[in-house]
Amino acid sequence: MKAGMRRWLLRTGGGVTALALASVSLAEAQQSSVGGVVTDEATGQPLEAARVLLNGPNRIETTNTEGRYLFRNVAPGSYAVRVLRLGYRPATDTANVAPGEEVTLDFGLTGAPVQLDEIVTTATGEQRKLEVANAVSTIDAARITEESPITEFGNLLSGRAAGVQVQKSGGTTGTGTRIRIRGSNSVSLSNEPLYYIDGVRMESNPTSSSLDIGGFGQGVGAGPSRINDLNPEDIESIEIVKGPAAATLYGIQASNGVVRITTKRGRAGKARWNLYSEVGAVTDHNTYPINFNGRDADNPDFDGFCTLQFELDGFCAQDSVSQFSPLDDPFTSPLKAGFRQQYGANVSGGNELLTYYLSADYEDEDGVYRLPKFEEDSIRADRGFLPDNQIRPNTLERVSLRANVGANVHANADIQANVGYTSSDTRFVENDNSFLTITGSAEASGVPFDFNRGWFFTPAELFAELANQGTERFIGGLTGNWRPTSWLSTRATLGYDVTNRTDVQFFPTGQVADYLQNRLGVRSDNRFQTTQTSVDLAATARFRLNPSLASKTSVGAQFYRDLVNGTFATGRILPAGSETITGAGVTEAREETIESRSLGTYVEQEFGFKERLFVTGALRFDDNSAFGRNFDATVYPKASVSWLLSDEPFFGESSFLSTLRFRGAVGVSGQQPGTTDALRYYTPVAGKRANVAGTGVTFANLGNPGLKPERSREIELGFDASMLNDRVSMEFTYFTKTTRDALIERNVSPDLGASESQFFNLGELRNYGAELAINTRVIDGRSMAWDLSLSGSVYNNRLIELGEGVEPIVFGFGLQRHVEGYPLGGYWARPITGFDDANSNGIIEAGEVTVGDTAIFRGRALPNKEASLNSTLTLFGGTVRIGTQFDYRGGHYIDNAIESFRCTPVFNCRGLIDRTAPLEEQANAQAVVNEATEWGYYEPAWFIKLRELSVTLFAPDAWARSFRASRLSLTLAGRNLWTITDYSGVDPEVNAFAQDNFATSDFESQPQVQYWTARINVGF
Amino acid sequence: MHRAILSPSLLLVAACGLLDTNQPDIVEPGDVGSAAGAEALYVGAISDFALAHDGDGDLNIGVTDGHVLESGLMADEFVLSTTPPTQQEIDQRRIFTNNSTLFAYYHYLHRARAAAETAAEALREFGAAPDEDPRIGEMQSLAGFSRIYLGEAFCAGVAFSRLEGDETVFGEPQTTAEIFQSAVNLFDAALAEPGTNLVDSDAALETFILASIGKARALLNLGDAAGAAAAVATVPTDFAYITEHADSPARLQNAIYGYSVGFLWSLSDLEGDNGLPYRTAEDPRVPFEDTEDVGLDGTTPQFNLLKYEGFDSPVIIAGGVEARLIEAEAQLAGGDIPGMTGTLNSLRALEGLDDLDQPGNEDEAADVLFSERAFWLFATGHRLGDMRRLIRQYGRDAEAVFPVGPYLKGGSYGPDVNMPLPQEVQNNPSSVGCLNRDA
Repeated sequence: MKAGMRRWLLRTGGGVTALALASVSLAEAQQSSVGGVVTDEATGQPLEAARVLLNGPNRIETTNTEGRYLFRNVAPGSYAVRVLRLGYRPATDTANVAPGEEVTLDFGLTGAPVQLDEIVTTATGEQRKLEVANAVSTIDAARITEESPITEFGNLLSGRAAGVQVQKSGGTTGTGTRIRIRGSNSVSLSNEPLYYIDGVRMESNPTSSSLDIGGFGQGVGAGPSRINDLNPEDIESIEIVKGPAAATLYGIQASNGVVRITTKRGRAGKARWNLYSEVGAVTDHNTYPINFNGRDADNPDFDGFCTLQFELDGFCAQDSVSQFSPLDDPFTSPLKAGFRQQYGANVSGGNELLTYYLSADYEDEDGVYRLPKFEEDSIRADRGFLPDNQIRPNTLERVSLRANVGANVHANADIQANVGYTSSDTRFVENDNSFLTITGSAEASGVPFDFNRGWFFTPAELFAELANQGTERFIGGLTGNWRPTSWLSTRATLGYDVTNRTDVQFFPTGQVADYLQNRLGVRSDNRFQTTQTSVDLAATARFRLNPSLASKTSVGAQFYRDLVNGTFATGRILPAGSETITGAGVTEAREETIESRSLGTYVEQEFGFKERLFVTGALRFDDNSAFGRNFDATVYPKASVSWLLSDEPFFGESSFLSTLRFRGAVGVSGQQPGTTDALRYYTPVAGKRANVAGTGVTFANLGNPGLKPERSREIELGFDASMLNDRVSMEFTYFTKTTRDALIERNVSPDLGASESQFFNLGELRNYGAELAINTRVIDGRSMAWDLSLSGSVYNNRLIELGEGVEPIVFGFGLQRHVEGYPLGGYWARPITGFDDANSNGIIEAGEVTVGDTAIFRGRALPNKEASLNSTLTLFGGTVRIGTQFDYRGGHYIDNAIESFRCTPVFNCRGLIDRTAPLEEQANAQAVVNEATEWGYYEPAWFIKLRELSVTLFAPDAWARSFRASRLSLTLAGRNLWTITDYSGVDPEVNAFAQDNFATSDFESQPQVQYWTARINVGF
Repeated sequence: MHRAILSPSLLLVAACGLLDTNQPDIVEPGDVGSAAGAEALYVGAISDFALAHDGDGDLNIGVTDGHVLESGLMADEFVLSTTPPTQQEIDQRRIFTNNSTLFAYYHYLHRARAAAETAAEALREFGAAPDEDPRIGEMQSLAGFSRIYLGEAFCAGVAFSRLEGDETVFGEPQTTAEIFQSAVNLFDAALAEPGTNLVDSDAALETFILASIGKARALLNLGDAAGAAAAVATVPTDFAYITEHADSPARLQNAIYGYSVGFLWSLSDLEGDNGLPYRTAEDPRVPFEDTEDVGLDGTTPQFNLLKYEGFDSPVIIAGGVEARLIEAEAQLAGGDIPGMTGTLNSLRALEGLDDLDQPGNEDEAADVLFSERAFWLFATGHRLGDMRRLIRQYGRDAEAVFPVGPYLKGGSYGPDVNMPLPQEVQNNPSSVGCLNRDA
């Protein structure tokens, strides 16, 4: 450690530490304890996993398997002890602790269908949710994974938290997820939230791949998201911090919200084993569009492409129209059921000093692609063998291990070590925007059924390509808590997240599609190491200023270092049979290094008045290596109020409205520039002159020395209520957030001859909206219960200012734009203003469609409305549980680009070929062919999906005991089972741009697939 | 606590280097302010110019198609046999200003220009003996050629901006004539450079000839055929200044070859009625192969150009044949049709081609001349400029020069005779887009 660092640490932490040490001896001399048992009052059974809060020092313990809890080393005094547990009403009692006394305080909890109070984790540590003035959504991941069709981490978030949109880009196994919380905050920077796992900042790149599997170039197709490396089985809970008002203390990358993941922990008690086994099928039940081919057998140049217009122009004469899709014919379709299996075991337990949770999980999934039998037979006949990976080209195999160990190393100190390891191997097929996709070669082939069985490139050619990603990921965190006095607690977390990734793409010589010289043999082998190092130091001091007023002061400091090292190697022109770059006719190699560092501190002051009014103020300071040289540190303030109105004496007891809380918060957070955005620089480049190759430099980036982070300020107002004898809870939140100094990647005038773009802090944009979450138990009987959860949100997004003189930013096939006064990334096009079959020949001809001269706004490209309805029906005294989730998105459009592409340049859309096609469909086709306007292919993309359906059968205890088990259950579940939509394409929930920040299109993408799984859980 | 306490703490730690990062992939401006840096800028400018002219091998992205391919696509040399709509707009002559291919094409030409200008300045400032360095004139010439390409391909209104330290000096929109005149000025500067006029230096002679042909091409665009002929009078017919390519890395690959063998663009023949018979003429100057297959669009018959035989094939930027063709045009301009025919036939003899019949009048002579130019200079980035000159200088109707009628990917050919300026030029506060769309 450098001397400067030491001085700084001493300066910021030294004073507090010295004061703490001085108090230790006195406190230890008077050690007391508070402990007891928490039980279900109705049954007397001990309750595990109840959170017990010792007010004052604000210490939190969790009951063990016998329902016991224990606070050691409690200073003499009087404390309120509050017990919180899902499904039960909170209970509070007072512990009067004398010096050296062991106080026993038992609790019997009464059932409550819903509850608002729980423990949540904030930047400063754990605290009661009702003290936190922001809407924080908590997801009970442990229960969901056991009973719902969860195949990846993103499924856990989907449809379970208001304001959180999970957008799976397609149905290919292993592809990623785009996640937005309360809309998009940034024009040019990432809009993905930050992720922490067990307090450790983790890498969460939504598209972590250098594979060219999407047609938009390397690493920008539908690749995997790193969040899906996490094994859902290991996750206890997820908390979602939704906006800048709540995320201020997380610093300059938190304006998009924060997702905090807590993995499972051991609890004191005997070892508890949990085994599970899941098998299932992955199926594609989508209906693909039919290819229309106008035939003219006498005119080979137009046979298959004889459009109605060509016929009118005299180029050809349709003698028939063939209608066929190789994806809808079982003989030619490579879309077959895939197989999924997952097996795992975990064990947890421990004692008062040491707890542990250990797990192992194996997962294997074959996607929906399988080589058609006729091609398999043909290849076997030709070559005598066929590799398995060509038969099943889309597979995922993953092993996950986790070890979480907690130790009470001292009466005042504990440490928690959490270590997760994942090894995965995923083989992809091409996903989007390419003839090398299954959908591209089938839907947009242009060829009729009698050529190549309707395929542009055959599945055998496509599946011969190998695009494989192997990862080895380790996420480790070590957290130490030290409570030197009854009023001071400190925490230090060291985190390290490292991913070693190997992306291999291989086109075997002579076997793949004859596309861009790939058939000559190409192999790329790109290797990366991505590391995130985090240090988080925090201290909280609590004082009771008088009997009514409590004070909590928190300070903290964080350091983050993100580093990516990559090497890229490619060999072209490989000898037949070669599977290595060695010996390639042409080779190419390069390196990549990206590093950023961030340092921040915060101070937060909270005052609590009679445990029902909480007022908080905080400041956050950040400095970052990506800031321009003319900009120093930034400061973000926040303030919030939480008022538990129902605890006021005047409110009284009410079974109708048992809990009512109002909350309001204002806060600022940010988004840092890219690592080198502020710098002016050149990059090395190869050149050749006089037959000698050399290395030169080319201008790469203009830079901006004044570059600073964006500032997103959010005001959040809301209320929480628990009603009807705690059978209904409601959370409502209104938010408005404005991003100023928005970083705009402004196009540089190309006549400068410099870089394409330059970042400026120019823009301003606004999101405002409302969220509502209602949880209710509709039926609450002994033999039957029915829980319903409705959550939803609506928001508006508007670009207020793009910057003076900045032209609208155009992207996404040139169809989407950032334009002042409109939602970010909306669809624009020249409108079809009318069409008329003037000569009444039943055909809309080229001149019979009118199109406006100027592009106008058509609609949003991202949904601004979402809702989900989760239902859990418990029958037969809890032996059967039926769960469903309906998921709605709306308010947006999607570009049916595959259909317009089928019109031009491919000529196999119905609107061009079939004289019985509706006139509007013909007009849309003529408009895109002749006027190049996509207007007619922007379609409303709202949908309602039956996202999840599950039936869980819990075996009676006697049955379980016959297996020497403590519990036994069987779950049958399905995912993506039914869709209601007006969209005429295959699936409104796909994106050819995968996890791109804004760009969205339905173009040669694999739509969502169905999952059917059967799972057995056994507990010992 | 207050920012006065915490913020200085942050700064203190930052000052201790905790926020220092390692960025090995970048070269900072200070690193090129030396003789070695000037050498690096020179090689970089050579590379940028080759990229802007001939594209690169990154076929999957296709944003750096280059001048030869884009201008040839809009002219009658190539027809699109793949699918990107931005390239189709160019082939179809209906080009919108938000076309990303158009932007890349325009941007890379300016990058090549700016890089050459920067390298020339660096060689002069940091070079050991700038008065003996012909590369300064070479860089000025490449900047001049970049301006020629911009003038030949794009509408009037092109501006030339530059960086001065941290400041951007925006250029004013220029008419087509002003663009070519600015190129002439650059070639004159190159010709006047001491390093260009060294005796007994092959490199200096090469630069001198390069600048001479460049000046002639610019003058030809200005309608001064006589001046152009005078500029190339001493150019030997076998001279060639080339962009050099390699199989690896992809940036050095010849994209003209790649687009052909990649089934992306096909060789045209009589495109849109007015196009020349590049295939049916079976002329050895435009060698091609009938693949008997269709391109990646699944519909367009694929004919591969064989003029460039590999990713490492060089492309002629300025050559002696072009010098003779310029002289022939000067003869035509002077009414010497027999002289023009003789000059053209002398060139044809080099390829063993039959002599041309002497045209009967100036219109026929112009047809013959421009056809000869088209075949000799096929796929070198000349044809679009020539087609515009036929309209601008020879009074031809655009509908008689450019492809017209139905476009076989749907719709019909549009009215464009040049490329519009991409909408990104609006970020130059002086720019108003195209001043006009005239040829």
